[in-house]
Amino acid sequence: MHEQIIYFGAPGTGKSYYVNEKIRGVNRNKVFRVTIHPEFTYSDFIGQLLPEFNPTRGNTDFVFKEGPFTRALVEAYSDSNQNVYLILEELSRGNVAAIFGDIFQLLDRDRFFVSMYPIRNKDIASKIVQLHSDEIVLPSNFNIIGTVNVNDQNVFPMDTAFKRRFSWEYISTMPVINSISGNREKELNNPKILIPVDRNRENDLSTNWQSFYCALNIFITDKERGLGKSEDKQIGQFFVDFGDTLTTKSYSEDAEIAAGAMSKINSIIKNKLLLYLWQDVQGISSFNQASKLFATEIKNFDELYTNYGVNKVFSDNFVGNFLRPNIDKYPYY
Amino acid sequence: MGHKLLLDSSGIRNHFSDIPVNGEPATRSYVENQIICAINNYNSNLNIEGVEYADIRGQFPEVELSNYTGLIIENTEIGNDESTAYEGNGYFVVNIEGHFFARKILIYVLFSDTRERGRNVLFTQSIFPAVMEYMGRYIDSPSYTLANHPIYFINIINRTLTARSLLRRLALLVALNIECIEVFSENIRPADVPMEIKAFITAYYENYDDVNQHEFVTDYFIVDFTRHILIIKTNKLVLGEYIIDDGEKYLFKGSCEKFYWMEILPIVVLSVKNGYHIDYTELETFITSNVGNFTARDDKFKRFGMLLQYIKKISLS
Repeated sequence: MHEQIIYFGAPGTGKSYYVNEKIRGVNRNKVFRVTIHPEFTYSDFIGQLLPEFNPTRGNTDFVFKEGPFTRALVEAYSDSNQNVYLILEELSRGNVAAIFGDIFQLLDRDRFFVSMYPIRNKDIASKIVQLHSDEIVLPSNFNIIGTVNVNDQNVFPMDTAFKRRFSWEYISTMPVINSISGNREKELNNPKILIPVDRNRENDLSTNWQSFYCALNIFITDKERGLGKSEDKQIGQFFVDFGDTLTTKSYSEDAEIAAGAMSKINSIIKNKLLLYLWQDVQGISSFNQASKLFATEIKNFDELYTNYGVNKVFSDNFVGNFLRPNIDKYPYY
Repeated sequence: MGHKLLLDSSGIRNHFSDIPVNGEPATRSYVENQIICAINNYNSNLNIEGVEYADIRGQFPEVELSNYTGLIIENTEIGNDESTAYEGNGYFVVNIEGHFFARKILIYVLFSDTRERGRNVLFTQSIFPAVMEYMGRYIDSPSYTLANHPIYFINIINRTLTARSLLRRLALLVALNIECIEVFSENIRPADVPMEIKAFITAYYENYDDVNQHEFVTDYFIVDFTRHILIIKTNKLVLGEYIIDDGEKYLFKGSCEKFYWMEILPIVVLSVKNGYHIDYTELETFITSNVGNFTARDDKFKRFGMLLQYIKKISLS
């Protein structure tokens, strides 16, 4: 009912999907969605004084123009019976301490989910007609939901004081579980994947996306035979979104349809996954180490990109110890 | 876009002339201006531009209507084709002489009587049962407020009140988070009403010696200052006191149920604010054991259920 929460997890785990689930059915006027970025400022978030021509007096006044935070707060005060959601996507890509400024103080909520410590902010208060002073608090119906991609490069660090004012809900990299049945969503974003082990297509290993990316995740964090990297390098089910149609077609009994789908799937993987695996997962520093994701023959990204789907690109270690044992771990059927 | 004070055509305006000003009956426009000034002085953000009389129930079906009801609304003239965009987003669209206005409730307004008469029910009958109905309607709200909009109580009695019981009642409204605006005379300053429960009782109740007494006992409640407990009592909710038997069913006598709510509800809200535990066992027992004694249509009895639900909600039970 009361939310001041941050969904965090590896890229592609569906954090925004969880946010959408949370606000499903909420009147669109009660949802204020912002994507944070490195240039996002307090003025963007709260509002700022901007010049406005006053036609009556024939001069220019400076008037406070609300940012999304203030607009959401105005909406929350306008009817305390309805929840208002301020959604802050990609929170770690901005300097949250600077963006929140004095608003930070309001994030401490009491047992009624009202700010424990009011602040005085004349500009914001002037926009809330229900307030008779410049003292503001976050009311019980004012919810904040953020998403944080733990693997973002060049992110701003969040201080502990900010972090502890939110609940942090981890979004697992595991395939999505149906909330009603409790079972894995077998068909959700789970197309067939063919992994070449040589130039002969008949020798391709047949797996599926859910099994494949989970095998990759195990390899990424395995400290003995894998890369031994941190979980934030793993990927989620929606790191690559294939769509329902392509997923279904990849299992078609019509060879032509299936082949067409496989071609598109290989293309999507080449363009959306390989660069991440090459730069962020394998990394240059570990390139010559014993545990490698890619085959020895793959010397550079050009070779990886060119060979993917037509020849062996993954290392024997990955294929033998991680992919084969999990090759049909999460079947489509 | 502007803000208006909307009063019901058949409500309080017909009594404005009961207000004496310099020994003469007040004119409606004078009272209207004084009310607008008082509201705008209290909350300059509202900047109310004028008063309009209307069929409030017709425009805002959700409003609890009585002789004391008013609304402060946002009023925006819109094009005929814009109605759909506003309706359902908290706005009600009205057509006044061919002009369309999107209207939104900002504040519920409850007026006092125009004169100090019927001291027993003064102020109490202005806010009840409206407050109980709002409490019941928004019981599932994510907020803990009485209603979905702030409630302004506007005292339009043009006389300084001296009776301690009336001053206490005004203070109880403040404790209840109802915003008190006094138009003609300042009887209490809301900011000066103590919100610490012992200080509140010391200031507004008789027979309490804050040095020697560790608890304060009335017919309605016991405040245990040592254990930080408020015990709700039902001594008055018995036959011969606030309840009568008409031979078939029980009834509440006159407006007695309103006295009870006025005594209980603000003290509960104040106690919760002070972190006190609320013991509502007696009230719960009164309700469960009397379900069959009142008719199913007895709204007064039903409102005791709303009171209990609200107490449970704000005490996070």
